Amino acid sequence: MNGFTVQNEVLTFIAEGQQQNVNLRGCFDMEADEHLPVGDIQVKRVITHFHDLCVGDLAFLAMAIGMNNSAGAHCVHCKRPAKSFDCQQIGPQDMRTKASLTESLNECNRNRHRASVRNWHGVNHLGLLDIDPQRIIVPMLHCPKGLVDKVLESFKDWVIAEAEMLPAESNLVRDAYANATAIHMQAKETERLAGQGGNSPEAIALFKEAKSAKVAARREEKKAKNNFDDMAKCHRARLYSLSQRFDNIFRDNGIKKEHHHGGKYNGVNCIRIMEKSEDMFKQFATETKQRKIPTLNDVDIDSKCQQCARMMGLMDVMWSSVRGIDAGLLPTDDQVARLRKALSEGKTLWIQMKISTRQPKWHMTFDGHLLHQVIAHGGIADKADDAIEFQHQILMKLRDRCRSVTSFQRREGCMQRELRRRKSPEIQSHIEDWELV
Amino acid sequence: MAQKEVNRIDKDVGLHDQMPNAIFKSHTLEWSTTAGMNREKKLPEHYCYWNADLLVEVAAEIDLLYHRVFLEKLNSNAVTCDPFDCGAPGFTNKPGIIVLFGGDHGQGACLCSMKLNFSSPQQRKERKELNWRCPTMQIASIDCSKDSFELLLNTVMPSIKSHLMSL
Repeated sequence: MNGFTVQNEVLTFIAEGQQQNVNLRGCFDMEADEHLPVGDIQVKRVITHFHDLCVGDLAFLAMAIGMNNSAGAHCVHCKRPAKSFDCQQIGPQDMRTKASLTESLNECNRNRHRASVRNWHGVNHLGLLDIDPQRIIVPMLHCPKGLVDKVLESFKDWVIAEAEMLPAESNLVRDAYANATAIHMQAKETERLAGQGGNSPEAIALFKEAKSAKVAARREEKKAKNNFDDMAKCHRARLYSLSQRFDNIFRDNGIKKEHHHGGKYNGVNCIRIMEKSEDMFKQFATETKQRKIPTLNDVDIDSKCQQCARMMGLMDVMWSSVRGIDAGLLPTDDQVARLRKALSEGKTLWIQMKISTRQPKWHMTFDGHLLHQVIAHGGIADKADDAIEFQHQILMKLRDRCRSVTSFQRREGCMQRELRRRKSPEIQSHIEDWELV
Repeated sequence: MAQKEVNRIDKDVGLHDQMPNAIFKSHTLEWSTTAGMNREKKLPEHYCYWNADLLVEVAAEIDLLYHRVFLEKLNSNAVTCDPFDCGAPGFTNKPGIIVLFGGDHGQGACLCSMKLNFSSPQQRKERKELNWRCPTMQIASIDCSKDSFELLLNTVMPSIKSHLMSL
């Protein structure tokens, strides 16, 4: 770089049209090295551009672009709300951009007087950061966690609703919920048929009657569902329940729930679940057959367990392609084709299994955002959110070490110094030597 | 290790008096009221947080990397200060490096970190090391039980936003 001067131990140069000053005393030990060849100093541009990308959990990413409290109901990459997830194609007009965020915010502000409008396409604030939504990377740690959890939840719901032999009292609650659901479905059908009756006063009266019957049936179903959910929660905590037996199988396979994850499995456990799904679901099927209701046959149980195992297996293929160094960095056309196939098969199976698709994590994975990013960024294995998550583990150890320091500033200062010192090549070689010994 | 040695290492890794320190502050968050019956308003909470000077942190990482490169090339005759610009897929028109910024709440703190991919994906794939020359550093933290929009807006984010733009 031309046009730099060194005067009074201060280096002055022009970068991006602005004058920059660097105090050399901060960079060199001027007292120790009196003969520092100041005249030989050169200024060289070492990095031309910093291309920023954003990662993190969905709530953080949504807040970063001004979608407060919308992370569960809207996508951060496109304008689709949860009810429009499971789509074949996302057009360029649907994608979020910085300009579309501003438009949505303006529209939200114009409609703020309406109590029903809390956001517009999910946007309700100015973004915390000035980032392009297309530079948000699909969270590769949080997405599989959410999807694995959803499949397990759906399997456990099926077990308690349709397969497990329950004590008499709990069985009554389950039957009541099943009846209420059937009545609600019937009321809906009656309302639909009444709606086709024409415009005569009798038909209108019939329609109104059917509508009120449907509302009442829906209310009853909701009440029955609440009772059923309470019963299921209590039942799962009982030692003899299938849920507890499933937990034992998980533990036998080295998969443990952690209390700070709200009773859900962490990233490492989710990877293990995907890897060992075939064996584990065989064991789940055996356990279920031992405690099944008499009307359910073994073929149905096997079929359900195989479906779940296949879903987990497909997710394993998908995420190992995205995260692994071989297919996750600069993937070949074959590797991309394999990922595309696994995504397509996974999506079809998920829909066959009738698991809800109204989750942004599902939408990002199966509706094309993940594949698009893998192709556009030449693989995203080196852009995973676990780099951020890993910092929590380092910090936890350091906090434990500095627990006696009560002042926040001193404690955090100590931790930062420690982290920085660890990066010194000299310290690293000392650590390596010590580890060898 | 002697204090002089520690000071020297500190200077090597960018910990010296002339460098600006992280900014430590605190913020009191007033929780919103609730219309629910028999529900008392949650008391305001006091949060401590810090923001590092992002540009200084990045500069320190670049220094450290050159330090390592020079050590590796110590025995060779030509030690040059090569640029780090590497091909970043997705940004083919502009040479540069990928910077990954992110945040997440966990274990009583909301951390914001940054990862600098100084090496190209080709180099890392050849070495079979996903994070070779890709240091991660913390740039901000809030001691809080939950991260909310208001909290982030009033604490670490304004500073990060301006630093990211400067970067």
